[in-house]
Amino acid sequence: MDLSQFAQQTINALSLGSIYALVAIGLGVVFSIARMVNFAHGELLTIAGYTLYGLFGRVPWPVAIAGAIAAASAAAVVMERGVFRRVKSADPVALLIVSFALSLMIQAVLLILMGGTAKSIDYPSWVQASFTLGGVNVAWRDVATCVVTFAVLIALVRFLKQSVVGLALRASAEDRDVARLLGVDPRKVIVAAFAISGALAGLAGIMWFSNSGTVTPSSGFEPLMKGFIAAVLGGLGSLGGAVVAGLGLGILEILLRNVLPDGMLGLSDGLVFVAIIVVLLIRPEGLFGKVGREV
Amino acid sequence: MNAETRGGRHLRTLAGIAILGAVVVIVGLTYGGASATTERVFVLFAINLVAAIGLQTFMGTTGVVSFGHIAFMGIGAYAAALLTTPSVLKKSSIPDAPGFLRDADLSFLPATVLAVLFTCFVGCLVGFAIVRLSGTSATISTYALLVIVGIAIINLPDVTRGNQTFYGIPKETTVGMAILFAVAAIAVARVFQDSRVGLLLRASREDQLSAAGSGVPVRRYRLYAWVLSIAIVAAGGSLYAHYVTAISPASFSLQLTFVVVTMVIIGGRGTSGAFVGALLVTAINEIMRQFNGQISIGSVETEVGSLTPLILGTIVIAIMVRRPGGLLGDREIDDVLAPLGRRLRLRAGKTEQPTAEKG
Amino acid sequence: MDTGANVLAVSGAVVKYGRITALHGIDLVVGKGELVCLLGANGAGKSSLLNAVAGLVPLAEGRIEFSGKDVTGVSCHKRNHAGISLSPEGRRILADLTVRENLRLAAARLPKGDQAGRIGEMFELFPVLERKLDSSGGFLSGGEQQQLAIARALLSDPDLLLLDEPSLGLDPINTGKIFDSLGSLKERGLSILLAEQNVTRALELADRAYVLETGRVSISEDARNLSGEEIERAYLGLATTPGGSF
Repeated sequence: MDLSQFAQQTINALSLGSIYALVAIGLGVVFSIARMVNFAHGELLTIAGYTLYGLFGRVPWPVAIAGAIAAASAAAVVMERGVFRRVKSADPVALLIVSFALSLMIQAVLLILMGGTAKSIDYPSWVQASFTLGGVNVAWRDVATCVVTFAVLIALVRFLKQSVVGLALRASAEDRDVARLLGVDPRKVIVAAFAISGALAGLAGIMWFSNSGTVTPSSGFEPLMKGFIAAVLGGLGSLGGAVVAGLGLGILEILLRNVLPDGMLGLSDGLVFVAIIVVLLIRPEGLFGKVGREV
Repeated sequence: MNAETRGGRHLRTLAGIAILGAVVVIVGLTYGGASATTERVFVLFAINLVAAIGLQTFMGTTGVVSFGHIAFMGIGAYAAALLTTPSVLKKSSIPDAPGFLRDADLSFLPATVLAVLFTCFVGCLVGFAIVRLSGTSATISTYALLVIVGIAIINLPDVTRGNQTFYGIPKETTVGMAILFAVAAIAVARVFQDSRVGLLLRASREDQLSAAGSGVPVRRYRLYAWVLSIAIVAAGGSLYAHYVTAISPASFSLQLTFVVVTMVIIGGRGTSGAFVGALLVTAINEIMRQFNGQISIGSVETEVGSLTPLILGTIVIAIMVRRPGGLLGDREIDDVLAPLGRRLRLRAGKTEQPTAEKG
Repeated sequence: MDTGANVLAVSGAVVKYGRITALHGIDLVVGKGELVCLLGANGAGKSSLLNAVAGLVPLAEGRIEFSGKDVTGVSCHKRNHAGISLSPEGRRILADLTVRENLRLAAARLPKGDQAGRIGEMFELFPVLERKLDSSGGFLSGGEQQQLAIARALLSDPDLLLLDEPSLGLDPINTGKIFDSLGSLKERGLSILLAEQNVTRALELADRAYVLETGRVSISEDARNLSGEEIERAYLGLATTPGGSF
């Protein structure tokens, strides 16, 4: 592989890793605050995808993108208020099962409403276009993905450190009782967490589908799995961990895709899952997580 | 509630097994034998029942939700299929397999036994890791197992035909076999559940710290539950393989996992719970089939038509919201009927004092 | 004391944790401007009572009235809005947040213009906090954490301050600082319910005292009238030494 190909693949890896990181952070936010793993998170990406399918070409593309993010965020809030809130058992496994059931149900609804055939999303033409920089072919969508993710991360960190809502979220994540004592409404905090996770998922979905160009009812499964792996390995409560693990996973995937012969790709997936079991056994809080904040 | 004597408890276990077993036998012989369609429904129910009871043996005693048991159903299915499929067929379908597998021509029951033993061996190895985890970590790890086994099956094409269908499995699963397996599963599961190990596990289900502190070897007992549950599920896999005669990795997927987990969650934590859950879910599946009229090949157990996951999902969520323990909770069929039996005996004039029991 | 002047009135409070009953029907009042102390051995129920008043744990039976209003069913954060603040047992500083962030969050409900002023008042009371504004809560010493916990509770301008064992684990100097600040708070007219094991210093400040034994009020007295024996009884036979917890 020559230098330009290497650069090409690096950009691919970073772009893919950014998406995984966004999904991982979304899962992490809900986990830190609501103490649950939301298996239906992948469907939020799918909903964003179908929203794009419906809006692109009909409205200016910034509106479509905003709409997709809003739709995913709203869907997440509906999940929380409609379903998760009603599960009285605080047992996280019960919530996991409910989210799993919800995931399959949403896929079924999408199948009924939209059909099983892949719907082609009409991204604006500049997304698929590429430019050449020093002999390297760079796709705009990869650039956009990396840049936007970076910007979102910065914004998120600032939000968490400086805004009152952000402080309330961090406080609730650390010690829910103390947050209540300080006058923080726990219900509103949970809704905020889901709204944020939904927005992040929507963004991830927009970026994910810019790669494949099509959406089906079960599209959300693959990014969910990848993001979930990154979240568990990096530590579900750790923002930094999610980013590192997400990027790492993206790099690993592209690396293996280039290095391994085709037949072995499945094995690399298998190894990653073995890694999950090992991490859960040895360091349940994830590689970067804080002790005590375990799955 | 009076303290029961050991004899009384054994009687209860027998009663529970007998009642459920009788239902299976009667339904099997009458309904199952009635026509080709009803035979299919009954055999599927029996397979679902064995899988659900296997899963419940672990989930009910340890409280851990396992997404991985279907993986072991798959291993059991493939292992048995490899042994029973006629060697003539295997010479062309898996020409590169190791000789002893290619030439194996065992009959159904011995092959199933060997398959179960093999699956238990594999299960035991991973079980050492699984029983060290709890709660969400354990559940996630079992899901990881499902993925890993699926990948393993796909990546051993010399033996399993990889992604492609493994065909030619002799159709050995008759109504009689189905009844046999189902009753055996019920019996084994119930005996374990009511055994010392089973009772201690269930007691420590909610509070593991104090159980470990009082000297209960929780991990070792969990391993027993794990291996036994895998044995049952593997047997179910063999039963399944020898009914549909062709299997592939897609048969043992997340969808099927969801269906079987649903059975246990809806029904409840005991053997009777798994029975009720399997009955309910099979019934729903069949009813949905009537509406949709679709037929799937090779995934006969999984949901057909798009509405089924919606209905099952709604029920699961409703159960989790209202009765997280499932419809039956921890109760068994004999628990439900016991007060009835007592009242009948009193009315029959026998002067039975409910509180006096001979030691 | 007529009920009109009471900022807090607890009647028949029963608190259960599963099958264990921590409080067996507590009656207690705190008058406006009073400092009432709760004494009792470990496990007597002091924390349970304070947590119940703050709204962290629900009452199985009984009533809690705050400034004449029934708050028994009101959720914890709303009680904070209404004017009840708790500095919990063990301080429970948010270790991930800096001192500045802890204070900002606590002051968040105040009108924007008042926040800086109120935080400034806290700096007067606890000057060390101003020096350590950007330290993470987890890096503060015990004494500093306690001061932060109290400052946090005060920032919302409560009518009733609940304190759960503020001197626990603190050396005499820091204990002194805490009690001095409580003294000046009392002088400003704040109503305080203080659970303490440091009997001597608590009684110095208190108007009245309740002694809890295994979930029940065994003594309810003016602080001046409490005899040495009664105090000893409060600790089930263990003696206290002057100036420190036993």
